[in-house]
Amino acid sequence: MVIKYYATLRDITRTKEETWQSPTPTLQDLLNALCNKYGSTFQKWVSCENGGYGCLSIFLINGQDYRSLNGLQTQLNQTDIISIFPPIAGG
Amino acid sequence: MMFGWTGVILRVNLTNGEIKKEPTNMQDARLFIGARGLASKILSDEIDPKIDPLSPANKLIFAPGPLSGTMAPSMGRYNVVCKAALNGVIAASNSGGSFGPEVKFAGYDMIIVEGAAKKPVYLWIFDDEVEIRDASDLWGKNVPDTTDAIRAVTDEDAKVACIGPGGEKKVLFANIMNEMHRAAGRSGVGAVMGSKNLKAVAVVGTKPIEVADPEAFEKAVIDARKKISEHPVGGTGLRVYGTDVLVNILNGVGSLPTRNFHDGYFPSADKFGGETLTAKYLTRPKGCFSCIISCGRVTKVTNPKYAGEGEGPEYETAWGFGSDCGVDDMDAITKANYLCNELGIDTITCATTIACAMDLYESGYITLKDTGGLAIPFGSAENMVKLVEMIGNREGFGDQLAEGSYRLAKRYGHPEFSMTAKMQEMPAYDPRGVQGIGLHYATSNRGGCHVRGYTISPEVLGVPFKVDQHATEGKPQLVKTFQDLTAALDSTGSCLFATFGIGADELAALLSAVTGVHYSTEDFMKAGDRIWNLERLFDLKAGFTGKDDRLPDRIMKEPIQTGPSKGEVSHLDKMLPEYYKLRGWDTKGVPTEEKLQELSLI
Repeated sequence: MVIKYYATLRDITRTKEETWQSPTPTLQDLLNALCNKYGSTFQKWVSCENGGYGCLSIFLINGQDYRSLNGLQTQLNQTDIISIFPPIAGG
Repeated sequence: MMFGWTGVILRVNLTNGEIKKEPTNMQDARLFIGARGLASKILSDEIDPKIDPLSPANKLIFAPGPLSGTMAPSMGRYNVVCKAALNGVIAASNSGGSFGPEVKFAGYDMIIVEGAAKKPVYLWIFDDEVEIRDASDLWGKNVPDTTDAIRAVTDEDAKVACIGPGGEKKVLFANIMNEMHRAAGRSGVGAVMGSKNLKAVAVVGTKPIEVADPEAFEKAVIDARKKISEHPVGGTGLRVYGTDVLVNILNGVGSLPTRNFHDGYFPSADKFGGETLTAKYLTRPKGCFSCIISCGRVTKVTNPKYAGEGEGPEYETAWGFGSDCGVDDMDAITKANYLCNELGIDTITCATTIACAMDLYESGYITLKDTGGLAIPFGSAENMVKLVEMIGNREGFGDQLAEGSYRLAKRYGHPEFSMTAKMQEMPAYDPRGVQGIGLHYATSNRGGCHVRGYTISPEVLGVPFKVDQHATEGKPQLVKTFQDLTAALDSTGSCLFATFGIGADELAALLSAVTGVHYSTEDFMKAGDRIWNLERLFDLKAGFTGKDDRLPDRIMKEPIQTGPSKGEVSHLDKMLPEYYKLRGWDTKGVPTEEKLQELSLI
């Protein structure tokens, strides 16, 4: 699958996107693996104050918000495109 | 002693040169707060909504709010209120910087300009001293040159709000620029200023703003500053990337309008997103008066073809000159932004009118003969930039585009090509992919507009909570709540972006501490409801009806073609009846007598 990073996550991962081939059956598994790979700075942006992931960060699976799918337990496929945004806003 | 409000309104009649200072009606001030609300009440009382907006009968009101100029965070906004040149609705065009607070420091709750001068003039205000001065030598100058020239003969620290050539030539979407780069952008308020031969208002104020309960105010300010600065969006996100960071998320969810709303997805959008802007163009971030967010972008383009320096682009501008015109050249997009600011024209309506022209051109309804030999298929970045100058100066084909997309498309026999609600161009969120914002566009009292009911926050960004962007359930209540909150917030002098950290509770506490008038959260939201209904009544009297609460057929019938929202159309008809009911309006969209009594509007 392809993982795309935006805003400050590009600075942390030093890439706009990467191809991911390790087995990560669910979104939660993938986020666990990415936090291991990129460390606490990455984890700070994608996790919640009280643990877990999400809250103000946004995860899209093929353009669909993970909360409108099966949340962190959404099953991932090798053909998926995962987009990860830290908290952002504008107008 | 007055607290928050100064208790004085400055009234200037340009027809006879009369300058008056009047007491603010404090009963109305309590009900309508200030800025957008109180100025709209005065406009509604003083003009016939059916007048020609470019006639001397229209009035132009510069209105800060009771919190403007205080040390509450992000209180740099003011509103320009008049009947709109572009579409005849009640206009309240909102701008930041320091002009609004300076009006307060000079001692005024607002400045009402009426009539029209026989020759170009500008208004010079130094506290109690007010002069109407000759501006013949300023006429024809662009915004930066006008600002510099006025500062040179008045005060180097004067806060100047002025029009450029766009306003002078009554481009129907001309804006009013203050401090060179901040825009009261929408509805054509600059054309109204031009119709009055008023080139600028320059202000220096030295008076303090009295606060009723300093102890409660300090506590409320500390609370609000903490909540805004600790919020990931207000505290860091907007400062680092600016509003343009939205390009990728809106494209990511398939709701970035593309090629005049033919699509909602643009594959190369990243080229003009906030990440690119920050990496390649940003010189420094910039904040308005008392702002702790600093979302403003001071930028530079080095490419000789489009070289320049200025501020922007914001998200709306990057989208308009970007995907909506089928362009991904950030140099050209930024240059188009600079030119709009210098000429004094609204970037959203300018860009989307060019997109409409490109659409008509590709469909064969506009030819090279019409454009004066300018080829304008989607994606023609160079000619897009040329058109901006032609529009601002009303030259050649630009003279037709200076009337906005509604009149342009109608002129060529295809009004369905105009992506407007109530004749004002829709902004950068595709209402087919985000249902609530579509209901807001259709019902907004100033036509296509995002900032008066920014449901994108929960529908896409998940702030303060997440709702499904594609669902219609619950959206009428969401839209009403956001519209009411924003109407009240706009009336205080606060920036909308403060709401990424604070809400009605904190704003009501700040307002109460400053003015000494107790506003509960319910009072604050009810004031917003009252202001919304007041504006609705103006529009109804101006000739609009419930039938105008519509979106273009393209949005209702033609699905998004590609990307994550492929296949979606707007389901406005499912939401509108419930919205009317929640508003207390009849089935035709008219406020009931009972509702108007509840809001003290009759």
